Amino acid sequence: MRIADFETVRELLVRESGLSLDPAESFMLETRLKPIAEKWGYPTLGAMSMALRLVPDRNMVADVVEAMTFQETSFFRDQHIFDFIGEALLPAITRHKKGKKPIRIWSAGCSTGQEAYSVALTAAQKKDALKGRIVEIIGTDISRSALDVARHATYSQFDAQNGLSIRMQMDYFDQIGENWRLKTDIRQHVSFHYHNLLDPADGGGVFDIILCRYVLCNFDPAVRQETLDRMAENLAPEGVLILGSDERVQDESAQSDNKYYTALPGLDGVYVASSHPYADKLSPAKIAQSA
Amino acid sequence: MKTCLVVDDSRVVRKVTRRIVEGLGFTCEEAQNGQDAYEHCQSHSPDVVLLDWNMPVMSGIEFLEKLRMEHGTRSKVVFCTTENDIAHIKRALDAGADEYIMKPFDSDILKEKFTKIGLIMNQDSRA
Repeated sequence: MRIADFETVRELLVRESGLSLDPAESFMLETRLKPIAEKWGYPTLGAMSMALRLVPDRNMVADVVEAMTFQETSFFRDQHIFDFIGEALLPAITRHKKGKKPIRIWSAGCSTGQEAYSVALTAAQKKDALKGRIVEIIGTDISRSALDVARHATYSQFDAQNGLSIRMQMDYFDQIGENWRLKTDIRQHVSFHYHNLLDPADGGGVFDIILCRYVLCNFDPAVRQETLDRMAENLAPEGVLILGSDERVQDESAQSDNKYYTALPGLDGVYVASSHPYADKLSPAKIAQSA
Repeated sequence: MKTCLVVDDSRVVRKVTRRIVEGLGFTCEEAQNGQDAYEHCQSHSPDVVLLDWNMPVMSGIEFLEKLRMEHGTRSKVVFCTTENDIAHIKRALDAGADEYIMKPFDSDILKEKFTKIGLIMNQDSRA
């Protein structure tokens, strides 16, 4: 792929989705964009790139963004995070949250839904600790085709067993031919919506837990910081933000602490809202002591 | 070093599986049917047995039933088979299988399953 064509797509992706492409990834770009070029009738990626530069059709731009932002995922990726959610977070939020309001969880950049459903499965297994409180999980993504998969909640045998124990697969899924579909009582706690993380999530409300794992690490650094700052508006004062285990809320070179988030000691990538009233009770060391 | 006994009548499957298992840090032994595996377990107690279902001489499920009856639960048993319907899975679990892998699988799936049954530490877990 020519450098100029790569640059065209790279700039478009940062502008439209925040995704930052490394030149070393140009091979991936070719693989993923060739079907889009064919779909839109361009004989080469260079021709499509020129069209994107000169007469960018919104639908074609959306196709390019979707092709490049489709992320792989699996059930219970980083099992210890789901152990933390089930053992510590959900019981603590249940104890401290006033009234009977549901616990609200946002899986931001949810791809095909495995993360959101892993949270729902975790909540189902900790039903007693929730004392009847409803858990409402919202998954959002920029890829409409990924959202279609997520909404249908049907996974190939290969994807289903990637992260699930066989007992969980048997208890919570129905086998449909070669595929496995999550049962209704799990699906009903999760809804999926289109959302671009570059836009404010004004209508989404406030969440007790936001998971945004292995999404922002692919973003342009400045856009990543803006996105994290904006996300703080959707985090409850006693909320928790969970990033990928090697992701941070700001670059290590930052001169001061982040004003919105405070790292939770003992769990890489986990942050509490800076005003969190009972953060000390969430530390894994404290939980181990009280167990 | 933990030990794994791979039981499959296909030499190719045994070879590929051995490579994955050794990559996870296990010492690997092989058996080509349930009877061979049973004889191996008379003198060894592998940490885990990766077990095919359909094999000549003695099937995987026959081996598992015999193993559990005579040797208890010292060795974890993970079925690794193309028998992917619920009836087979249920029968395996009832007979004492610890996990069940449906072929095809890859190293990530095997690693996850081994982690779930405590054979591999979750590397991401924090104190």
